[in-house]
Amino acid sequence: MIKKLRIMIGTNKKNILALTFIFSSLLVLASTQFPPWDVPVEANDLENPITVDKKNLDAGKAFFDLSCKACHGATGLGDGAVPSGDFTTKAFTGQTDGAIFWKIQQGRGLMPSFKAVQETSLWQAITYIRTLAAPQEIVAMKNATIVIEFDESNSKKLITAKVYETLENGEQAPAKEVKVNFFIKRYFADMLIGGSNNYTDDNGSVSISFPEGVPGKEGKLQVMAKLDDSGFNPAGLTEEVAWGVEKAAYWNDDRQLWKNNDFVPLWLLISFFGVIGGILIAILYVLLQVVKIRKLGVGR
Amino acid sequence: MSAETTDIQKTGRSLKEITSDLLNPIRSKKSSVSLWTMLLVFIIIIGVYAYIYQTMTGLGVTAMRDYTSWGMYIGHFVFLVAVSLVGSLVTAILKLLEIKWAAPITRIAEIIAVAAVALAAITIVLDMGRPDRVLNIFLHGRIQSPIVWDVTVVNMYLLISVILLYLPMIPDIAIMRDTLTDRPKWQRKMYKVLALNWRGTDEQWRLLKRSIRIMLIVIMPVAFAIHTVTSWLFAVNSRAGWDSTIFGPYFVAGAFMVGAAAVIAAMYIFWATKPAYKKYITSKHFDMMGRLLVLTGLVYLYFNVNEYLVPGFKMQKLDGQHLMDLFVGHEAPLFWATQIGGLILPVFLLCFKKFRKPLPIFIISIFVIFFAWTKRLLIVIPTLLTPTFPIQNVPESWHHYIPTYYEIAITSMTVALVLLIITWFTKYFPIIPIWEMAKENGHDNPHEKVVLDDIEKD
Ligand code: HEC
Repeated sequence: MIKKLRIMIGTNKKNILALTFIFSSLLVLASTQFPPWDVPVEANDLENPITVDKKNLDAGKAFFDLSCKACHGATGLGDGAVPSGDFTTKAFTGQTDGAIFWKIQQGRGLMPSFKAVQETSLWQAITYIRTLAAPQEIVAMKNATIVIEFDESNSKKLITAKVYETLENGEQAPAKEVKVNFFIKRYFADMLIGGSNNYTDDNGSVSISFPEGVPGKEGKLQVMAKLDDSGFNPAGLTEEVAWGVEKAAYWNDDRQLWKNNDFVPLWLLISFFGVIGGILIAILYVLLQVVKIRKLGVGR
Repeated sequence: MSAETTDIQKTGRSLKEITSDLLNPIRSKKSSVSLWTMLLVFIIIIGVYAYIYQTMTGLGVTAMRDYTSWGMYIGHFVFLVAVSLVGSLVTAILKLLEIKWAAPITRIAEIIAVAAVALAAITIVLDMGRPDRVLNIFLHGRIQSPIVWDVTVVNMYLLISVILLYLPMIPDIAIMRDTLTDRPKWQRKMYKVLALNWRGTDEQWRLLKRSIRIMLIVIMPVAFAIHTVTSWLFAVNSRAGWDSTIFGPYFVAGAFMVGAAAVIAAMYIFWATKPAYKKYITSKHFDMMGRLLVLTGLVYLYFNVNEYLVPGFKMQKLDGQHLMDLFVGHEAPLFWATQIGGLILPVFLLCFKKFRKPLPIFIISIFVIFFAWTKRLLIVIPTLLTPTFPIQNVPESWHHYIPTYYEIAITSMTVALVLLIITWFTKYFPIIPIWEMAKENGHDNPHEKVVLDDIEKD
């Protein structure tokens, strides 16, 4: 077998050259290009049902950042976690929205299938992806400040953020149609409340109702309002409010299975170290016997 | 044929014959690196390379992904733990029950146990993406976590197994210290240190026997604990296929079965390759181990019936999905091959005396061992692929688990290491206990003097 291989490869230099060529071209292919997709004609002709506007673009960006950015990179160059093609090339932008939609739903290789996701989200993502290729017009980012107000007067807990943009003359004016997200600070990630679709009204203010029953130490919660808008520099504000509920069980010193090593249940502590201790004592005893055996043989 | 079938107790062999028979492989001056060792070392080198690559690149080189986060390594770990349990089965249970025929094979069982459990411990580390953090288990591990219990008990069992391998060997090492004087200096030194000034005095015997007895008793609960805790790694999760109250005994029963098969396989190899051993390992041993395999196999079969039939009768949503996958779905070919080829057929065939002869039972044991391995994979992996929430929006390949070459190479390395440890052990220590054989043949206190006299006479 090996001999045969040698005859095949070793005696013919042309073969080696050919093999090298094939292998290297395969490598190059594998690293830079994906095979073309067979997009069905009906899918190709499908039209994007949504309008290109700020809300849809914002939603598309939010969805892209959440579900696609990790692999495709923040700017869609395919420079994320896995090589995944460039969204800014002619080859990509030349295709119809329908074709892109079909590919996203279908998936291939490391590209997951997004069939289970609402179609609107995918269309919004496509609308947003399209803007990645267009050279960004450079707009001067505006500055804004946020004020948070808490209102409990109508037996309903309402949280309001007021956004004021700083005008060129230094004055403050209410900022209209600006997207604001609200969060409650948690141990790990921040918890989004009130959905991700809140825009300021004509007075520059936006309100959401505050969720009931969020646990917090002594009922205190850290609430954040963050500006999430392409026309503004990032801005945010954190305020404390005692609208949470104290959950005594969260903070007590009971011994529990799920807690850390300082709160191991006693029965577990005793059985664990009891068993280990018992075994170690037995082993130690035996080792002592071994030492004795050794001593007994000295000088004989 | 007669040498094969005679009962060892009645032969009355001389001490000299026994010692020279059993020390022969150690005496032999043949080149020390055999083809077999070279093959094992070759496999190990490939495995080490694969492991270095895995450590540098990350666990992405394995086929483990979000769903199958425990793959071949953990299945293999469970398998090695199972095999290692045989040490306690053959040594402790049979010795404490004073079952005489088992005497020549106890050391085989013990060295298998030591090698397997050592590699089981290593296999856990091989499954870690950051092996440099392994100490954190001891520094920061939560005592509430079954993983910490498992790490603890695996190390305990390793320690006890090593002691239990060593203690009964002391008189034999003393014999080697006094008779193998032509060995290299380091080897003579090793025997001298390990022999602990053994002179075979009555007091030394008394202490040794007591120590062995204590260890035989201690190893039993630890052996049960090691595999029960390993089963709890799975059973404490409320997942389809793991959420079982009988997982502990189910695992222990399975371990005794594969362990018995492992001893038979090893026994056969020693029996077939070293003619002198045929006097000590006889067809009677194959017959008796065959019966033991049937017994353990039947117990395991009983647990299997419970484990699959009870949830199969209820067919609760996820359990049902998992079981259908095993019975008729994607995993079905492997599942039925495992159940039939590794359990039902061996038990059935070994009921007949014909199949308990050395070669047939060796072949059957190899099947039992192989399918015991696939069985562990079938316990670990299909459950992970039946998560509580459906698998969505992930690349196609995440829906299955097919081990990569890296995993296969690294896993093979651990198997090769087990075999290499056993091989090296037989190079320096008698695999059949000399003094126990001497005792069986009526030499009540075979201490070193007798041996020396006997040997010097000719
Ligand atoms: C796990 C990594 C991963 C994630 C997450 C991911 N993709 Fe992909 N994507 C890929 C890879 C890899 C390819 C190239 C697949 C191929 O061509 O075989 C790809 C290809 C594509 C293509 C086709 C490109 C072309 O050349 O026509 C589109 C469109 C696409 N992705 C959009 C998305 C969108 C939208 C999302 C988020 C909803 C997303 N991808 C999420 C990895 C990913």
